[in-house]
Amino acid sequence: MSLALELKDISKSFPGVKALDSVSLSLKSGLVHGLVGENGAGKSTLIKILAGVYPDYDGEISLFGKPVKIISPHDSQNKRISVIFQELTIIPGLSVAENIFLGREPTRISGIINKKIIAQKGKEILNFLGCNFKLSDIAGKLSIANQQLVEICKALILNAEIIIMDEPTASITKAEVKNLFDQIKKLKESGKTIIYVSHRIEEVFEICDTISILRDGKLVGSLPKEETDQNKVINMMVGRSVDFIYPSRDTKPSDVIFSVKNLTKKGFFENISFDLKKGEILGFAGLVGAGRSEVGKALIGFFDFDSGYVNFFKKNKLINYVFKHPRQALNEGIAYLPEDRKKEGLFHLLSVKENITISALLRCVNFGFYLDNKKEKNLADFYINKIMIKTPSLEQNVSNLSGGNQQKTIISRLLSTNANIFIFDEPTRGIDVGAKFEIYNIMNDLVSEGKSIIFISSELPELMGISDRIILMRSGRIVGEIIKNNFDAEIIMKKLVEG
Amino acid sequence: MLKTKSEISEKFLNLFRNNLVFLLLILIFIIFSLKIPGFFAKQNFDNISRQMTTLGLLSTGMTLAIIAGGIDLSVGAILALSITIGGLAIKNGYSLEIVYPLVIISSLFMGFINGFFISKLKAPPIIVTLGTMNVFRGIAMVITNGKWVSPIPPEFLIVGKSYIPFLTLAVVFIIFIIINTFWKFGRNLYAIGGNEIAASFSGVPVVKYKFFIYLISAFLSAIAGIIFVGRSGFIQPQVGIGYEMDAIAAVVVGGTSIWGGSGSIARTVLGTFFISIILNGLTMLGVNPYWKDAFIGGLILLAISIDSIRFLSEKSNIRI
Amino acid sequence: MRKNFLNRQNKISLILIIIIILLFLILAILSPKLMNYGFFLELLKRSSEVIVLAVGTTIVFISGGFDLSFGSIMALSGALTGIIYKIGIPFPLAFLIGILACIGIGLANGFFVVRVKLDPFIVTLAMAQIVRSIVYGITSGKTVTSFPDSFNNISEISISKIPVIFIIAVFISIVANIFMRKTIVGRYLYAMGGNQLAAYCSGIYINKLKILVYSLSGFLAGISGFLLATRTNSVPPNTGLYTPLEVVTAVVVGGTLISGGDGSIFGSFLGVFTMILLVNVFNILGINPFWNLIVLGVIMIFVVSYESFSRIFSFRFNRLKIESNGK
Repeated sequence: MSLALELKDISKSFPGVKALDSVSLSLKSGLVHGLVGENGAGKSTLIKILAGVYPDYDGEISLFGKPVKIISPHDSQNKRISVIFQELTIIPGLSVAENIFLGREPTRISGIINKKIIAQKGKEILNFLGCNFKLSDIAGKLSIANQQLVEICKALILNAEIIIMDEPTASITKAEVKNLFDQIKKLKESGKTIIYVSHRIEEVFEICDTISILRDGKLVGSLPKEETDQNKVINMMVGRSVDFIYPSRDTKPSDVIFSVKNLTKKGFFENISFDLKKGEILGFAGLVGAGRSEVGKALIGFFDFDSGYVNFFKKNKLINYVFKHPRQALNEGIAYLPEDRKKEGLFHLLSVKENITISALLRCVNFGFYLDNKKEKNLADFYINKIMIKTPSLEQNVSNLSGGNQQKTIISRLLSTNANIFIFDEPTRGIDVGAKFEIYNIMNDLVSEGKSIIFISSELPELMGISDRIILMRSGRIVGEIIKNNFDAEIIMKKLVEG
Repeated sequence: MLKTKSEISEKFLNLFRNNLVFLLLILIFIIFSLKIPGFFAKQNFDNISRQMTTLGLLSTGMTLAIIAGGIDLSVGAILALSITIGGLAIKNGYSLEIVYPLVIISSLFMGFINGFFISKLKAPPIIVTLGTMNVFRGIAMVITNGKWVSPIPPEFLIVGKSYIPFLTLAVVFIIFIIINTFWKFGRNLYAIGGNEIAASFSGVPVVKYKFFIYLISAFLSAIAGIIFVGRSGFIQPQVGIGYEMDAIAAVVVGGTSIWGGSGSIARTVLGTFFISIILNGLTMLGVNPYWKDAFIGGLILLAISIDSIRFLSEKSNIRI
Repeated sequence: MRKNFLNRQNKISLILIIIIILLFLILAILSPKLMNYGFFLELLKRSSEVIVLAVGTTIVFISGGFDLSFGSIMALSGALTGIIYKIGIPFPLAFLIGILACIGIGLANGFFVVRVKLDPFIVTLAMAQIVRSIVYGITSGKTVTSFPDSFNNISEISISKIPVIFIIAVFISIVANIFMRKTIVGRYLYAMGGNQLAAYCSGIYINKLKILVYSLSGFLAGISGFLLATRTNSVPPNTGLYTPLEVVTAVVVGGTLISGGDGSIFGSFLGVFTMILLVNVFNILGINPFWNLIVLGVIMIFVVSYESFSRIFSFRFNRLKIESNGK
């Protein structure tokens, strides 16, 4: 069996972070190769390099013995690589047939699309994969699982030799997973090489022939399935030398201050109930599609939900509440740090000062509406000094700051609202190590003052490093809760991947 | 597969919604025929068929632009400027073989300008075509000094006679329905309008397509202009003001979504009939012509509101 | 926005001031006889109505919206008031009704944008046509001239040699400037225009603000219409037909972004003067007035294209953004 894909010392860096560090991998053709690793391990980057999205990478790639350079998505597809991303690239308004053949429609001499060939070949492929939808169905109306199948069909039309699937089972049911596996087996039988990227170790062991593990951008192992087991793989995924010491604190959580009851939104999360204690950092662990971010957003009224409510103490009375607008949540002292600071957090055209004060402008006014520059500056300066935001001046445009300082700016904004309960959604994403440490310190300081933090993160180490408790979510449900003394990376990961 | 009651009623509702325009069209046709004296008459139908031509041609180009996620507000101005240039040639004694190609080539230049700013520089189509609408109109006014060209030699009036305008329109409709439905071209347009990034990822040459759309729109405006001159017998730089709104109305009332990615030329055919018949009916009823534009504007708002309500029920979960 | 003096907005304002001075010089050279008090008087008067429109448009753009209907609303205010006054309603009441109608149109715009969630471009484009048609309809195509003398004479009043309507326009500009720069709502508008999601997350009521902005735009268009009416004593139904082009060009030249989030009233103020002086230079040179359309259109297209092109340029390295969210 020849080598379908050979990677030699593939490296890729982004500002502040080395996503891939000299990854070398050899994948035989005709097999299903699993690629696993936590978030931030580098799987996503590797896929995008192979898909041609990141043409500027270091290292060498060989396809079927031939060295190549992948320079664009089109180039990648021409080289018979097909990537099925989580964000599906189907056109919702077009039919299945139209989507499958998009960009490569067979035409007659007159230029008319050859519907006959499309019907014929299309049917062949649908039958081959055992799809239960028709060529004429509108793609946008199919289930996610079926949409993924459409993407697989697309790959087959392109005569792809290597098919890469990124978290294919993230949003589909168990029954659909079984279907998917049947189809993957068929693909394998017809000689295709599959790269199956997933967090779900159990599935990986079921369908893959080999397993490669990435951790922190490096390859830590690549073995045939028979030579390893789930525990060993999980160990390789999470085990790391303890070179990062998380800042400690003395305070302990006290009474319950905030309760969430039966929060449900069909398709995203179900019956989410938990308590939050005063002075507590409550971590939320989970993998792709777990729904943690959606829960966080729903709590402040940013995201729609079907049922459920929150309980909290207001002037010594217990109140049921459903927030319909983030302002309501802020008024009750609950603030949310957005997951994607560029899209949901930063005002790119405004200064650092303005980004900090925007939620607390009422504290910077005279006569109730007129902005007082001095008061604003004082407010901004207070936080710039308190949490050490590095900026030449507070009038500096916020886009010029580093990721860490941008994050601190938004955190200052939350702090300025005098909130008691914070929801930090991926607070250290895309931030260098030094800034991360500073943010952990900020979190510690907050809970020392009696505030509470819901800490959503995809990095297990930091969750275990500073949380008092961790709630585990999978596929929109809470599947476990672990307290500090019992933190164990392998146990947690097991809970998160098994279903 | 067993169909539940709600599934059946939902299918029926969708069928109803999708074909609403068609039903309405038949309805108003019947009502007008019964209630308006002189409506159901050969001469009136001849009138309608000729007046429909300009609208239909402009709407076809507009449909393509809208499906691809853009819009072309300059169609009226392109019509005016291209026939104005033709008019200058006529004044200088040139004959049909020179004038017609000149008209078309100048329209292609204008389409090129639109396409360049929109597809290459990625400026928002509505602003660009708003600007070119004024620029082209301005040029037309300047080169004629606001004066008409009249009389037009009889050879140019041939295209305006009897059924030629309507036939031209029919041919254009058929050609574009075929291209849109049966050729790659149509598929790619819907892809671009539906999800531009995905289309690009799938290998659709988005920039080229966007460019081409505005060339086609300009070309159709020129054809409309040629026929208009044939029918009316004069060339005047103020021609076509407001035509772009009529075209947008025909497109959205026909059922093409203003957001792009769906709809069809066939729907625009319906929309064109609808608008033309209604306008004709209003005229026959003696409604003050000043109110015509309000009516068109109101129809546009109504059509896109209905479309939005449908679009939104399938939309985002964020509470904005 | 800016303690750093040489930021984008100030640079643009500086350039415009220089251009304005240059244009004045050109005018002076081309036609020295023209440079008298009467000329300046007319200039200030004519710029008044455009300034007020520019203020409204600037606010709409900064907040991330778009309003093309103000040209028609401008015509509506004068025409409606004149007609109502003609049939016997006392002028102050007619005036009130006129203003309320304009605010009403603005509210309608806001309704369609916020509640029906339509694109502001199409909504205001359609509304512009509807209102224009209404104006033609109620005036039967005739120019409205029925205004009381007291109203007509307002444009003749000057305070220390400056026409009072110009003072009104400047006053509105200053109030608007303070509103945008120094009040909470103004700050919220800048935020909303820059990043709607972030504004919502920060607790800003964006829907209410949008409705406010469109109503304000309608209101200012109405005021502008009255300034015009008092100056010319007549309101033809095609009033304001080309003003959207003039105003939008003046505003984008003045540094306000069409995409929202940045801009200044002062910049638009300068932009208006630049455009008016440019048009005057063309007049003096005897250039066909329709050249104005061409030049304004070209300037607008180039400025807006520059805006989107420079944004593309900075995104060149993230050409294809397929983000796998990774959670």
